[in-house]
Amino acid sequence: MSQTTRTRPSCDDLAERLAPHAVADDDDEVAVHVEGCASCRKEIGALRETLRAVKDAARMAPRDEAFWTDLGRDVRLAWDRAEEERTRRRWWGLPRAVWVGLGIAVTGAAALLLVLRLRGAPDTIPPEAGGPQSGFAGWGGSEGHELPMIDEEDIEGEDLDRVLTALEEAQDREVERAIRNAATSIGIDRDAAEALTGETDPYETVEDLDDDELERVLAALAKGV
Amino acid sequence: VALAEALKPHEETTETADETREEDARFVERFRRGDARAFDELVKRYQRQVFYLALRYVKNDDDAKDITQRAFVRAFQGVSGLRGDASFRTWLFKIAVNLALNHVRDRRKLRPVEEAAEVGIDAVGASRIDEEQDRQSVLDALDGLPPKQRLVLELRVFEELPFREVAVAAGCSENAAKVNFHHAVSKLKALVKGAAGIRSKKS
Repeated sequence: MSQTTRTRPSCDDLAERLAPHAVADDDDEVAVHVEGCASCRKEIGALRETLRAVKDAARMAPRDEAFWTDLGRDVRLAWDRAEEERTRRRWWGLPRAVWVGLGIAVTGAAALLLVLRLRGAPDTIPPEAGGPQSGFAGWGGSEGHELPMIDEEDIEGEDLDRVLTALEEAQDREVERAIRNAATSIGIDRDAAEALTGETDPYETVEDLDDDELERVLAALAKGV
Repeated sequence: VALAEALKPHEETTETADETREEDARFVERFRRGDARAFDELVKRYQRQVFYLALRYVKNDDDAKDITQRAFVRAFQGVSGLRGDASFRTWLFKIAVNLALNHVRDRRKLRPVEEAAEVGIDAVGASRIDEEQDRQSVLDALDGLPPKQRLVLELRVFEELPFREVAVAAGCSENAAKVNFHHAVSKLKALVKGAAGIRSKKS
């Protein structure tokens, strides 16, 4: 008849469990062992002494209530600041998509603005000075299309600059593309079209065209090419 | 037995720990729904513990305050990622300890070599250990523990977290937390014993 005997744990077996038991007093197996083992009893006493010394050494000076009130207020302020910052970032993060949308939205408006701007020239620049010809005279009224406006109060400090720069760049890119398309569509050769939309400001580039080219580009733009 | 009782920190029963977690979870849920008072309530609950926890690492009120603020901000900002069954308190302490450790690491990088050497000389000058030096030696030894051992010891002894929560904060099993605790206390014991020996020789 066999009998399963459970071997009692030795001091070595329990060595790593003494300290946790010293602080929590919740390990029954250790408790039983310590009860009957003088050396472990001594060891657990030393561990408790150590823990007490550590607690004493690390004891912090108590603070008065005002300290905690101030700390609570500071935490709240830090949270409010962090939230403001996060909101600002979220606003800027969303706008990446919004800016693309805005860029697309201003495409037509920017091209139209360009047309209207150049169209107004015959009234102020005499033809002999190289201004656009009277052929442009019948293209609609003088009121322009307003670009989407951004409320500056919604944007702070440097973000405003970034937003404006982004808008400006988006607008220039769209104008460039419109001019390139228009120039290509009316048969201005590829190199010339590239030259039109190279490094230079698209508005200046348009002004560099001769009258005939300019008229054809504008006509193409007006058709919405 | 009296010593054991005196030393034994207020041990949370499983029920108490669970109640605390459930209460915290309710505040967190209210906070998620936009109740600002829930935020204030959680700050009030844990600001002292977080502050003292940070202070043990950084040894400076201003830095500890700063870490306390940042710990709460991070905890609340990331609260949406907190699992339903996770403990807000454990998570908050973990954030605070990480911030404190980063702070100490950065400060060490900046600390001049001479200052570090001076600290070394002070520690070596144990021949004239008085009470304050004993205390400082223990604190230095605490500082010198490997990070995980120290974290486990801090959370168990000073913050009185049950080992189960200590394990979560330390990112290990409960058993590993206990083993780390054992090693930490053993190292400190050798030091305390050494200091006591020097003191008795002196007397």
